[in-house]
Amino acid sequence: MTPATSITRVHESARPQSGTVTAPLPPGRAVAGPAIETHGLTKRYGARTAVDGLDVEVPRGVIAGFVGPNGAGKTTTLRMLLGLIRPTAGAGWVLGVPLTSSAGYLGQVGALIESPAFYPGLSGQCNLAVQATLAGIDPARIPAVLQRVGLDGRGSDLYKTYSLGMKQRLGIAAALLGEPSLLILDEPANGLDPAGIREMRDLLRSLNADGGTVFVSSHQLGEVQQVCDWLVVIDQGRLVFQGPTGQLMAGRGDVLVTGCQPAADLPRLGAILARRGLACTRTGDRLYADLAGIADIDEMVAEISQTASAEKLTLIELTVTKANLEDRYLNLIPGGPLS
Amino acid sequence: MIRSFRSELLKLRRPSVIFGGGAVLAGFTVLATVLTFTTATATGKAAQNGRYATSTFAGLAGANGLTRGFANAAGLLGILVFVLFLTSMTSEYSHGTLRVLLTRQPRRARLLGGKFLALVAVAAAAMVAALLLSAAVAIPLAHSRGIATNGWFTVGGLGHLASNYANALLAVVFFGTAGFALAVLLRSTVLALGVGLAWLLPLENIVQNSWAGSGHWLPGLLFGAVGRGGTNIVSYQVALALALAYCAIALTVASVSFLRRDVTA
Repeated sequence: MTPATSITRVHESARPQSGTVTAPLPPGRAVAGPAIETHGLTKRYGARTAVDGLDVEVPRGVIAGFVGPNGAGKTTTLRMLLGLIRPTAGAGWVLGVPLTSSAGYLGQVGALIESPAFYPGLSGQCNLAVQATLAGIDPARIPAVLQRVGLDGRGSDLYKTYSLGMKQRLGIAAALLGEPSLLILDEPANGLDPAGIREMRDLLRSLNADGGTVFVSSHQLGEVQQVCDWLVVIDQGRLVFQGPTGQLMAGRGDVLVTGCQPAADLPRLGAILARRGLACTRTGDRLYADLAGIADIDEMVAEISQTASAEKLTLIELTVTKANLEDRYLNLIPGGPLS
Repeated sequence: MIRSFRSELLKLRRPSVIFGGGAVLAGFTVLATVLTFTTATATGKAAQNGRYATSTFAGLAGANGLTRGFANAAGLLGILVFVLFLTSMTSEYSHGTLRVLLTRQPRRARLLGGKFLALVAVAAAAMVAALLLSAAVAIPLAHSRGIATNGWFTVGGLGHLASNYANALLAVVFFGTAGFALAVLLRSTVLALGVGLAWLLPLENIVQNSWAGSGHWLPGLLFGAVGRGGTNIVSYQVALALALAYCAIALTVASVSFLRRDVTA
């Protein structure tokens, strides 16, 4: 489950002509292709373009995060992947099968789109039975999936009596019914308590460990950072970034924070940093230096410490602040509203 | 389509459908049967402007007397089935369950067909229950009014029972089809119920009162005429043909819409 370290554009010959929705399936694609692939996927509602020429590629066997501001087009994209919405233009494949033949892959896909949707007057178990019957899945799997999401013992209760977290769990259970090889989840942690969020994280990892691919849309960037090894970031319907999470997290954004006493010595400390090639800015009694492009940060910090000591500077802070996904995200999408 | 059919039957087993729908069905059936027998007179009252003629004692003592009340209930039961078909579809939009169903059965025609057939099956079972209930109420009512029931339990009586059942079932399925098509097109319970009931109840009656020939053309009146085996305005054959045509058009338009429109609910 090691994703490619760079984004490889494959199947160029399969790119559709402008304005077409389908493209021929190259031989062997169903076996070896990415779990999800789109080329120029577009959805317009009148004058408004919800998804604008999206080129996405999610390798098989990864947990991929799908992030972007509200209204970025995430749910519209997921709906197109699930055959609920017809693309205006572009092409896409799920598990190697074109979006236009969604019946060919949906049997291997489990999905939870937006909020869980069930019949309030039926029990959780009966709701799952409705879906299992419709999909031709053995209803004997229902107790197992209820147990997997921690709803065993509550399956016979009416859905309308469930808490928000229980509804979310039932939605996950429904997605797991068909033992999917691809799981598409839209905000799966909504309504879950901290323990539930941890269970969700473990669940995604265990599904992934079994060889499945997970494509999960979320606004909880901390969770995404912890769980996802592949990221797709979109804004205003357009792709902003896709690739391994580590690629986005590496390099830019880590910051060295230094301080010394007395503060009057800060210019001397700044000079040491400058000799190391670090441009720093002063805020209060601290110096901040961007560590972009520094190959071995630990070694550099050690050298700064030794130099300061040699120059009789008394350091009161020498800290590397690691940027998190939220920082990266906000760098990618300036002012992007997170909800 | 079989999976869709079975899945829909599972949903229709919920208590609100069984007990709520069953209570309304029983109420309408008993009401129509009681009115049929209690308003009967020796000479009857002539039909006016396509409305029911009241029954005569002689007529109720005939071979089709047992199911006369049931036949008269067909219009009311049609409204009930109209609401059942309509809400079973619009609730898929309002609960957001349609998107779940379509990820389980992406072949939309099969999903729609199975769902429709399941609703027809439930309507058929409900009409059997209504027929039995009406018959059970008719027998003591007939005795209380001194109406002979010997003719009911003959070969001819059983034939009438079968044909009245078939006509009533056709009528309610026509009403249900109209509700189903409206639901697919309008996707909203309030909107579809408002439009449908306003058309079937006050509007058609207003038009009927001012235009005698409306019974030949207005769908609700035609469906009701099929249920009663024809009226003095429109024959059974004409009513059946026109009702079938209306329903075929409605189902075609609804199916095309369902197959082509995006699902955003």
